[in-house]
Amino acid sequence: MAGARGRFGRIDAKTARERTEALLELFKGVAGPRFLPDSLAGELPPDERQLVEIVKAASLKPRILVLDEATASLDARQVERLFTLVREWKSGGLGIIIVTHRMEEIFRIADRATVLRNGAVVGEVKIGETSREALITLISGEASRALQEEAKAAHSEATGTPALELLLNQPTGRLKALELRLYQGEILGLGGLHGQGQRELLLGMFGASPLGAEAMRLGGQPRQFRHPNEAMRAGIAYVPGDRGREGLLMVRSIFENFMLPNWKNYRAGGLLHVSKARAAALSVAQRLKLKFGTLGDDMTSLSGGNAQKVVLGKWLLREPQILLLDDPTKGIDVGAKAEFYALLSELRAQGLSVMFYSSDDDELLSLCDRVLVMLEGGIVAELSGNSLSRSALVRASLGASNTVSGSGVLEGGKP
Amino acid sequence: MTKDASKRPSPLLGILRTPPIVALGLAVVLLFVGEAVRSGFADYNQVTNILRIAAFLGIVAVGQTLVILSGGEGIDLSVGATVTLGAIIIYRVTGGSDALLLPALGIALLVGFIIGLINGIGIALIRIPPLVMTLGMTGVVKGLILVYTNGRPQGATPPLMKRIISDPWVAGIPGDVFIWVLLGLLVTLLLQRTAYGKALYAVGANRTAARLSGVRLEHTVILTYGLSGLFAALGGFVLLGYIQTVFINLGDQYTLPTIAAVVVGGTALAGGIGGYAGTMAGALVLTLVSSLLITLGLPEFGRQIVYGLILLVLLSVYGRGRRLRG
Amino acid sequence: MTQTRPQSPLRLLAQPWALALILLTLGLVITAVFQPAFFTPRTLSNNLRTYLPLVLLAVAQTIVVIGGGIDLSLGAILTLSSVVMVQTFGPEPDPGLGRMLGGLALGLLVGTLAGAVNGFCVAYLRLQPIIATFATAFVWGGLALWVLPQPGGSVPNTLQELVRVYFLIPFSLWVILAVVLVWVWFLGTRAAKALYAVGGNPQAAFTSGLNVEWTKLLSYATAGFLTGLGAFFLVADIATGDPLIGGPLTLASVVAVVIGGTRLSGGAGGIVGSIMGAVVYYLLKNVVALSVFNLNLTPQWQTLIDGTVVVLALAAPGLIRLFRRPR
Repeated sequence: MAGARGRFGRIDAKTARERTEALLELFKGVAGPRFLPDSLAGELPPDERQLVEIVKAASLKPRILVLDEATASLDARQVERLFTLVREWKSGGLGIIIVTHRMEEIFRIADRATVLRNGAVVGEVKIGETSREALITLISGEASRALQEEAKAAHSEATGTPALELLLNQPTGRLKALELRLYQGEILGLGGLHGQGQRELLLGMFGASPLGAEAMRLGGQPRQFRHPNEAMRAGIAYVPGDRGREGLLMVRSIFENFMLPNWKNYRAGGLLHVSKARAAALSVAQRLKLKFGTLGDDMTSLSGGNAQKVVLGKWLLREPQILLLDDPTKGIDVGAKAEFYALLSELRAQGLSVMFYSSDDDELLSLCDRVLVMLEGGIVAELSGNSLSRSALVRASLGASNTVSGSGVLEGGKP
Repeated sequence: MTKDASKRPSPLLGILRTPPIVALGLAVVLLFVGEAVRSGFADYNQVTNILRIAAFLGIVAVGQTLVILSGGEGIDLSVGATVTLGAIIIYRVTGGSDALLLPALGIALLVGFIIGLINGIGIALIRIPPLVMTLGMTGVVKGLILVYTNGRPQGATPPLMKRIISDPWVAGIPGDVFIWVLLGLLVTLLLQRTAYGKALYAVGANRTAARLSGVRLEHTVILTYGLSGLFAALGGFVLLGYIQTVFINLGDQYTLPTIAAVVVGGTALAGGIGGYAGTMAGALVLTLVSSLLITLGLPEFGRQIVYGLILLVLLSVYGRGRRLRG
Repeated sequence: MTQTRPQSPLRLLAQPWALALILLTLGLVITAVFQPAFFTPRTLSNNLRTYLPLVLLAVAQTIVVIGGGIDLSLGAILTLSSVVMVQTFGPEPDPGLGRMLGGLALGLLVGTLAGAVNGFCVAYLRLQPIIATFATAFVWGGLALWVLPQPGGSVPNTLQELVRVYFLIPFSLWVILAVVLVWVWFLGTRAAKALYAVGGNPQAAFTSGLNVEWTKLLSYATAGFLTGLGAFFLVADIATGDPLIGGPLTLASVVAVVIGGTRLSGGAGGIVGSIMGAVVYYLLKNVVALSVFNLNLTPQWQTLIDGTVVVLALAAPGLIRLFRRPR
């Protein structure tokens, strides 16, 4: 930390520690128990690492502070605290630029908003003088709300045998004992604050991290996956939250990205049938309305939304029965989101089962039939039908309530 | 994110700018420079001789190409020692008999493959950094050679090998060049048209994404190092056919040039980008540089320095990391 | 760091340098059983003098590794630095203080400069450390061959006597003690925080306003300086120069770092484990030599077993992790 130099060029450890403690105090109560000066940054969950970044920037006493998607990995309470601090800093004369894709944050905190699209400024508004609709129209360049409404229309009742059952009798890794059922043709939401085990749950079901031997049942049959390869062959697909790091080969072509999990289906006597594979990739690209030059172009030539379509497209080529989505719309533009919602509804209509984690409560509310709320590695609530409301979601996320829908309380996640 | 389409070069120019073509161009330039420095450098006989040496380097560099493509700081420093071991096994098992050549070759390739597999297991499962693992393996292979030969290799080279490898087949071009070209086609097919090749590129480009797309990361990496050992042993076979005798550190001097050849050919040291065509051009460039230096009468230490500098220059051109800013 | 781990008698084994300690104990016990003469003050002092260059190289390697790099040219730098010293000392057994200090200074300067060049390639040219220093190793090695084409030259008697001083403990131990003291002081400085930060996450270090490139360059230059120091103790010990002597020490320095528990991924670790690691490296070699002798094997076996032991030592931390991993 800056400005704690002692004698002989050594850092005055005591002063440095006191300052660090004072800075971390800013987020007291909204961060976990490990948010301490001596914790290793790498051992903190992503949201707390983000908080460290923010207090580090603030500690330099800047005159202009840029928060670039600083809230993306924070949960609601942390954002609330951050905004309180931002207001304090603002009254202290600090100029603050916030880059965000969360509409409500703009309306909660900003005085003015500048909209950029494709590297150009397309508009600048005073928040007091505009509305959400007006801003969305400015951002998307077209009216896209209708699509989102349409997606919400077709809720269905979950019935029949579950496509997938998960029963953890004992804590596994970061997960607590829990159980869940995913039915055919439903979109099952995963809610809760950031980093409450949603990612671990999805990765576990995909065979990327170990779950117990008897934990999973597919169509009533017990199955254990020791590698994503096995889950993939059982008809499961996983779309990761961090496209660039976990979903795509950025230095390879669009074609190879589409084909990555599919090559083995295009084998003809040891060699690959490339022209057949190319035709398949083209058809899925058209189905997803992918905007691209040629299939041979690098992945880097695509925008975020189009890149995410490739991640989804590579799995659609396998015609999976179960789709696991880890915050798939993070950081993609409004237009691509709308297309994604429409696709999701279409897939559900075809009988796919979807498990969908989102950091955006609006998505869970508008797309999902049921939502499981996670807290500290366990499931604390199941919301559906009338109980699926914004206030119920927020309350369950904060662990404030275990009033749940009539279908029954899931006690698995009790701390 | 989006590339400016107007800045994209025309397709023809694009092909001309691909590293294999650039490297091939460089080879031609070097040939002319050599001829200018000393007339006779670019004679037909000289050129076939350069091809012959480049073929050997190129064959050993097959494995190095695969290993570097696999990413994760992939590199195989044990190829030199494995070349030696491969040559010594054939030398001793055949004892000069043509009839025993095929089984001897089989044994040599198998031993090379196993050495490579051990490298792969150390790297993929035990997570030893590739450079350190293969450097350590070099010591083990050298120990194996010493124990196997008692310090003095005994045996002989089967006459058949001379006919296959160093005698001219057509138009004065020796057999190893044809073997090399055939191998080049096979390796390119392996990389572009097999599931293994696609998995290799995926593993090199992004390990996490590859695993989450069902690629068996460890299998791919272990097999790749195994293949590297196998091709190094094959290199030992070709080298033995060329120089007809063996000694304890026969292959040592080829480790660095294989890496340089791969890098010259435009294969990214970070993995996931490149191919064997580039390495073939790179092997030609390296061989030309080497014979140019000998023509210029540079002593051993000078050649070493020049090799090191060339590698550094190439790294600055191709292998630079990302800037922290932006 | 350990506060969240369950309390158990195995906690000592969770320490990064636990492996070094175990191997050190094991090596000492085996040596004590089969070669009691090893522990006479004279033999011990001689052996420590032999170990000292590698100890310094291991410390040098550790600093580079903590900073997120690796230097595979340390052996070549050691060679270059040592032949420069030998050539500056000249052939006389007593060339006077000027030449002696001059040789030492020039050797240290060459080592530091070579390290700085490595650092420049890695930090400012942004070349991959492994392959860049592998390439510079050939340059340094070639320069060493140019300075001294054949083994030869001599070292002033005064210097040879200096490293044989025995004041309470052998001279080599004083040097190691001094290095550790300097390290302990260094750990409290901003430079140390910068080194660990740069090695742990260069991007974060950069956005925190640290000069990442400069920190890296300094880590390599420091390693070069320490390697130069190692070169001095090497030539003072063997009393001659050799243009090929340093090669095998590069891998040995990496092995010492790995045994010492410093992760090669950077941002963590310390020199004490590496110092133990360097000693363990020699003890293991000694144990191998003893077994080859006692088992009546041909000397050729020693290279094979040495190599295998090195690979196993490199594999040990990974193997331990592999078996400890929850199933």
